[in-house]
Amino acid sequence: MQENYIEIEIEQCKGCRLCVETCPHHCIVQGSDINKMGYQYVRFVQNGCTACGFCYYICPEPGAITVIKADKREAVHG
Amino acid sequence: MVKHAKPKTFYETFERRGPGEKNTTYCPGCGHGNAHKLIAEVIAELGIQDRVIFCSPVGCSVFAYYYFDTGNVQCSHGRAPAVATGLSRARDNAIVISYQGDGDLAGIGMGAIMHAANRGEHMAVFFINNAIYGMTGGQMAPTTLVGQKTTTTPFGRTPGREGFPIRMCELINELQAPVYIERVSLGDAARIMRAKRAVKQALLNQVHKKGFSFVELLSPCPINWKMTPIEARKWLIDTMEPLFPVKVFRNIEEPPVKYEPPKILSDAELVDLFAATTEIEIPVSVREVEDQYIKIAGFGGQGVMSAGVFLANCAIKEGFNATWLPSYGPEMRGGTANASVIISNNQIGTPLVSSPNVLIAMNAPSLDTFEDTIVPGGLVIVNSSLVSRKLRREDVQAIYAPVTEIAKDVGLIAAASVVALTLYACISGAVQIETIQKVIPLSLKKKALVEVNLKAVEAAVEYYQKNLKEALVFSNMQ
Ligand SMILES: Cc1ncc(C[n+]2csc(CCOP(=O)(O)OP(=O)(O)O)c2C)c(N)n1
Ligand code: SF4
Ligand code: SF4
Ligand code: SF4
Ligand SMILES: [Mg+2]
Repeated sequence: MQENYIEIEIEQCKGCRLCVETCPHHCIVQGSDINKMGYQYVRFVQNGCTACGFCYYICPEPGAITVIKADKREAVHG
Repeated sequence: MVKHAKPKTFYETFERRGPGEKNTTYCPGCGHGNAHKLIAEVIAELGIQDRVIFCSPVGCSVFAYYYFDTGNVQCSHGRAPAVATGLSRARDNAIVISYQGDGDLAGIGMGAIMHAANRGEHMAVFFINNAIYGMTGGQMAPTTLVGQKTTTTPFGRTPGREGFPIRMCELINELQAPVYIERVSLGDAARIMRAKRAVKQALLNQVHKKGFSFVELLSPCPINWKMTPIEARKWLIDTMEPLFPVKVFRNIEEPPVKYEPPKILSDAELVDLFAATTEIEIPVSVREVEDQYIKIAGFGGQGVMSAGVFLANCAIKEGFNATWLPSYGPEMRGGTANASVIISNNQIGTPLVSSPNVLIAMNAPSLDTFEDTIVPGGLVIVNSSLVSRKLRREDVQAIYAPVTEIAKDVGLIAAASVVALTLYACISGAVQIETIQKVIPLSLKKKALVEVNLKAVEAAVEYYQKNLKEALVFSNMQ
């Protein structure tokens, strides 16, 4: 079955960790790699993401996080 | 299915950070980004992107125009509500946003915001209260909390010395005209989602022409608060919110002042109002002329300002669009002055001329100041009576003419700028000599002055025929 998930644009992440702190399902963790700007960006780990959008709203960067909700019909028929 | 993504209101890339870059200039964890996202989302949801004019402040959000693909005006410090007033009054269809920090709005701009609110201007104000001057490195703001350490209150704000924090929602709530006042918080995701409703209400109020709407967003500045982004959000909730209560202060259904669309005066009414005269016959030319970005510069008193107005008037009489923008120092005479004039077949967006394709340099300092700003291939008319040097640039067309002497010979040194304009008209063909001759009598009250200025035009045309025409044809052929 298709699952909800988020996409993180690593070059846009400033490593503030607000999303890590915010996700109710602990789906976001800070990685150890750094991006071009020198920020230690975060990673998504599937842990029952509900596509609640909390991480999207707490993230100050316009395009760092995209939330994708599983399409139920697609999951059933696909 | 994408549920939350970067709203289309934002530009794809934010060139300020460098070509193709996509993140903001804000520090990690800064609340400005959250506020921008909410505003961008609501603009996209309401489908009003093409109608929004975003007035950005001085402060960390000074570059909002690099982010929002809307109309944008970057305003001088604290004056966004005044700019927004002009915009919303002049453009009936515009949805005007005034986005301001606490130093900007409650400090230097306290007068502007209170009067805009009191007049019930049609605008949505988004007030980013981070209790500090962010951009300048963390000085005390009017909203700084008692005891809060800043660079200018290193031992903490003391009411006896610095006064108490000012609560803007509460102050504005004393006024009669505003229709909507709410304070929200960017402390956590749930609060941010609630804040979005306030942003939406404020913008909907503009769509429905309801009136002045004020949303204060409590916002973190981790860098200057000297906290981690996570600590800053917590401090915002625990310490700021008790002092700045998050609530709806006012939400009025029926606006206290009814909206009246701006009244546009007819040509006849305008002529009446300015006691102007229209009795001239000029064959309106529908010629296509390359956009003219003209800088006329000289000493104050050399007539460069009136020359600019005069040129713009000539162009308008011929059926072009034209603007005139003066720039001068406080001295009435002897300082440097310049006028920017734009002549175009199309609508003119801004009257500013920063890269002229025509420079009329009436004195040496003007040439020194503007030589490097001219676009390659541009035209420079140098008053060789007062400027002894030649141009350094080789990629522009330079014309040297003893403009002041020509004027002196007809009996009025002050007509020098008319001589220069006439030469410009001869060389560029942007306006016709006949037009100049017809507009002079409309611009000057004294008959004697009219005569001598007309003589100056004649002398300039003669000078052009004798000394410039052939040389120009020759150089253009090369
Ligand atoms: C006329 C003028 N005075 C002072 C300044 C310096 N200045 C720049 S930003 C700023 C304060 C900004 O604070 P705020 O409005 O709270 O915005 P923030 O950066 O916190 O978002 C000041 C005083 C200026 N640019 N212009
Ligand atoms: S959408 Fe919600 S559940 Fe999914 S990662 Fe973001 S915060 Fe976590
Ligand atoms: S909130 Fe945004 S910028 Fe901050 S760590 Fe998460 S993805 Fe990166
Ligand atoms: S100084 Fe403060 S307000 Fe300015 S960008 Fe940094 S965190 Fe944001
Ligand atoms: Mg501030």
